[in-house]
Amino acid sequence: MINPGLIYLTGSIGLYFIKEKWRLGFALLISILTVVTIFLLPQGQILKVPFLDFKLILVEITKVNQFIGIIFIFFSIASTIYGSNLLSRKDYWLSYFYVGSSLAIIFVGDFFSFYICWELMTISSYFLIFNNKKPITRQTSYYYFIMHLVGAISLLWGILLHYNTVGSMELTTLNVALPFFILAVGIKLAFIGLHTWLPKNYANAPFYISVILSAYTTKVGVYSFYRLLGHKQYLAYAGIITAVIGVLLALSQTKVRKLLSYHIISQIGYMIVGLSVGTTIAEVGGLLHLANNIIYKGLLFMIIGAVIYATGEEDLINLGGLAKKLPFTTIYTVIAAISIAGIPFFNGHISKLLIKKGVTDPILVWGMYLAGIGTSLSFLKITYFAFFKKHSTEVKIKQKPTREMLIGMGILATACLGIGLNPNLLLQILGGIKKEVHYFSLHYLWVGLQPTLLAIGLLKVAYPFIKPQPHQHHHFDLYLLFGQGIDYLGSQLSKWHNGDLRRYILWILTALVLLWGQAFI
Amino acid sequence: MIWLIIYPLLTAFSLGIIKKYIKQSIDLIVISNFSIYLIIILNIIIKALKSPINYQLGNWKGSLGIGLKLGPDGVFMVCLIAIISYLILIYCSVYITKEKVKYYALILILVAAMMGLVLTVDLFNLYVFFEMTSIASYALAAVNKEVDNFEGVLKYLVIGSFGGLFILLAIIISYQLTGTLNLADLASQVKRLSYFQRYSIVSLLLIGFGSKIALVPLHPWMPDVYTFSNITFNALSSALIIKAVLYSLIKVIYTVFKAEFFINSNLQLILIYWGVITFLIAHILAYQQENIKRLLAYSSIAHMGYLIIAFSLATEAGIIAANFHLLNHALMKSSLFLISGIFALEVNSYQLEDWVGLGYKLPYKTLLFTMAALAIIGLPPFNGFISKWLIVKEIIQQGYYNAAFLLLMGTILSLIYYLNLIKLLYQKPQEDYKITNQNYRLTGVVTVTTALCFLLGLFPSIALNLINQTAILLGG
Repeated sequence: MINPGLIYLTGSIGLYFIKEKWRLGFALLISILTVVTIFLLPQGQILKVPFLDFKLILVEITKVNQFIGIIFIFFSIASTIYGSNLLSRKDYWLSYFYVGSSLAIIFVGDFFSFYICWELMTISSYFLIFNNKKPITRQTSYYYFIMHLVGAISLLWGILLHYNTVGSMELTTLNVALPFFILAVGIKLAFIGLHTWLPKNYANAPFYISVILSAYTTKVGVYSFYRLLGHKQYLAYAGIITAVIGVLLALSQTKVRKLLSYHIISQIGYMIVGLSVGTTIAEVGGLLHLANNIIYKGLLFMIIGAVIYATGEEDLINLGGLAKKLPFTTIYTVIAAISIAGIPFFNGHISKLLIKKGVTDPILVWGMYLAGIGTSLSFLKITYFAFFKKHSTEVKIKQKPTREMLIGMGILATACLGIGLNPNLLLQILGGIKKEVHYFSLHYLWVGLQPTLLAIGLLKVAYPFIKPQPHQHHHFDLYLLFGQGIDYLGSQLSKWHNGDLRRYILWILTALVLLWGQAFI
Repeated sequence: MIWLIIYPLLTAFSLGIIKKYIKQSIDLIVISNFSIYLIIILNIIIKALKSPINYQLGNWKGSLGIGLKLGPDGVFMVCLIAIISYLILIYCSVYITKEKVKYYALILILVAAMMGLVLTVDLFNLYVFFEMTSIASYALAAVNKEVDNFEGVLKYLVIGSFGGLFILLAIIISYQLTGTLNLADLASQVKRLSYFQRYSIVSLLLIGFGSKIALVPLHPWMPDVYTFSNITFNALSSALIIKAVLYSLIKVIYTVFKAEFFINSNLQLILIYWGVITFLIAHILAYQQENIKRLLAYSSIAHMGYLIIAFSLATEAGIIAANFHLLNHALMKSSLFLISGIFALEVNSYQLEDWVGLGYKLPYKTLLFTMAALAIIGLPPFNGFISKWLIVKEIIQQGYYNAAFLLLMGTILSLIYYLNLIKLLYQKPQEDYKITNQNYRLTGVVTVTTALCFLLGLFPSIALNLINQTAILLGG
């Protein structure tokens, strides 16, 4: 009995010491070993270890965490192959450590280990983002760590309050200290308003790192949302707001990875809706959407990575006409874009359909419709401007994407199609759905196509808005004001310490008077 | 048992004579001597864990004589002092180049004084040992004879003397009122005193000891002294001196005045919020610092705030949590200081701006530094997190929600400046760099302290078994 995350965590140390030529093989070995372990572990089994004055539940196997675990490892394999030529030793072992801690977090069953894995994730991803080749990541990763620590502290506080009232450390859905848990989870999964760390980091880290990052941090957030805050109707509205605003913010971006970052946020909105409305079918849809999103969003990040690798550019303003030059990448782009837009026979369709079936509230339905149109529009934008539209000056290809990159992308693209055509492949791990859904009946095909057709129709109207053009970035960030506040406070306090001994003695006497004065009260 | 105090003193005094005849292997002599001392300590604590040892100096009975006592509760502190000072001595044997013999002698005197602080059962001797600790530390801070240093040491001396003055005043008052200075006798006599009298004694003691352990308005000596004194003194001071003083303060308050008085008067409330103010202000000040020594000094002050909060909860769990944090902080802070010392050997500066890119020149030490920094922020899987968890849990249990919440906020503040440090260390330097290696003894010491931080994070029960004994403080 072992937590699958632990295999990754210990393996990551091995990755640090192993010779360069064996590294990829060893990494894949770890992944395969972990998959096998997950399949071998029987459901419902629990491993308890005493610690301090309570028991840690280090492993707790359920359908849901098996499901997410397998997707995590699948993506880890694809992304490691993808980046195998570029990842340095540091990247290798840190990324495995990072994936390991996110795997561990979904298999643990008590708050204490949950919190520990949560922090391990933050720490390892901080060092993963921090990269001297890209000096800007020094600042962004700093921002990332602080924001995530605020979330973690909020989680810790929530846990302590929960423990104090309930007296048990077992992981359950909560009733106590909800605002703190919502803040913690909200930062992790980038609710709109708490999302600022995401585009900053995912768009600035080296591309092979953002591929890895795109899959785990926010998805662990979604998982913890499911575990801790599931089935709370009012959060569905927060989800739909996130979905719609995320898409709107994405539409105005020209840097592709920034655009994709906002799409992560938007897609997470869908998952929140699915997980919080309370119907089983929507919940399954939400979880499946998590898996699908890891696959196609990862694929999109890989594609733009390949484009950056080939051309050194990632701004749509400077890109164009890549279809002829990078044929494979173009095919993958089309697959990924179709998947995320929810067109039938690709995986996005299935999960979006399931969520839609589970939701009855008109606000949510219309919100998802709107977000769907936005999604289709923005991926029309990427495929059109980057790959098919001719650029005024020809875009130079410096180097072809490597074979490993193409293989990595190929694995994910196949998965997009595979799940799209045979959704039960994944759904059976979750135990399947009781009621049969005919994904490919004419009605559902029409439902799936609607947003995209509308988007194509709207393209003419929206063209001036989505056309990539140079625009001013305005850097307003509320959270930076906090930093300035502390800065100011600190400098004021420092001024008080002027080194004058008389002043210090006065402080001592004042303290004495104040303390002694209490005796008279 | 008297050897706990006498042995290091004897070694210290004989060093002067030995120096006359043998110049070469003074390091070896000191360290092997201290190893013997460790064996003596081991012998004594094994006995003490079975049953408390009482010792009357010169066999003077009762309240007249000088008494020492080592029960299971004191064992933890004795071990801590012995181990950390042993490690620091080893470090010093490489690090200190001038006035080495004096330095050794002073450290040994300091160890004896701290042992005395922990063992004594007599208020007057407590004062004697307190002053001995202070004087040894003034001398240690000033031993390098740098002109810049004297201003800071002067502040240290003046503020310390003020503190000593208040303690003496408290002792005079209590002797005048009760006629005894033995802690156990005092405890029974003190019940006769009025509320006001008791309160006055406690507040004088608090201010007196407080100026030594740097609670916030009494703290300004610390960063100033640290800036120019030798880094090994900083490590000793942060890891042991202020801890031993704090421990003796807590011992006096709980044995003489009992937890009930402490809770019934509003002293508990005052101390808890005093602690809160201490760590908030210290964290915010630390954020401003550009010198690593000052930064770590403020961070030490902040952690004294945590400790005073936990100690003043007056519950068994609170005392245990506090003692565990005391141990952890001693380990973490000594690693941070000692690694900073190693860094300073490389770049010859304690200014943070000169530290850019050290992660590439000294990768292994930087890794250790990062680990210690993460531990002191209070992040899992390190020991700092476990003790912080225990402290906050106990504070919540006692109903001080605000204090607990602010304590966690303090974690965020400390992340802000420690992360800045880490960021700086791992920035790639512009110029060429090559990996440098240093003396294995320096590396060994910091490896041990940092590895302990990590181990105690994973298996806190190793230390907690011993620390659980300290809960007797409350009832004794």
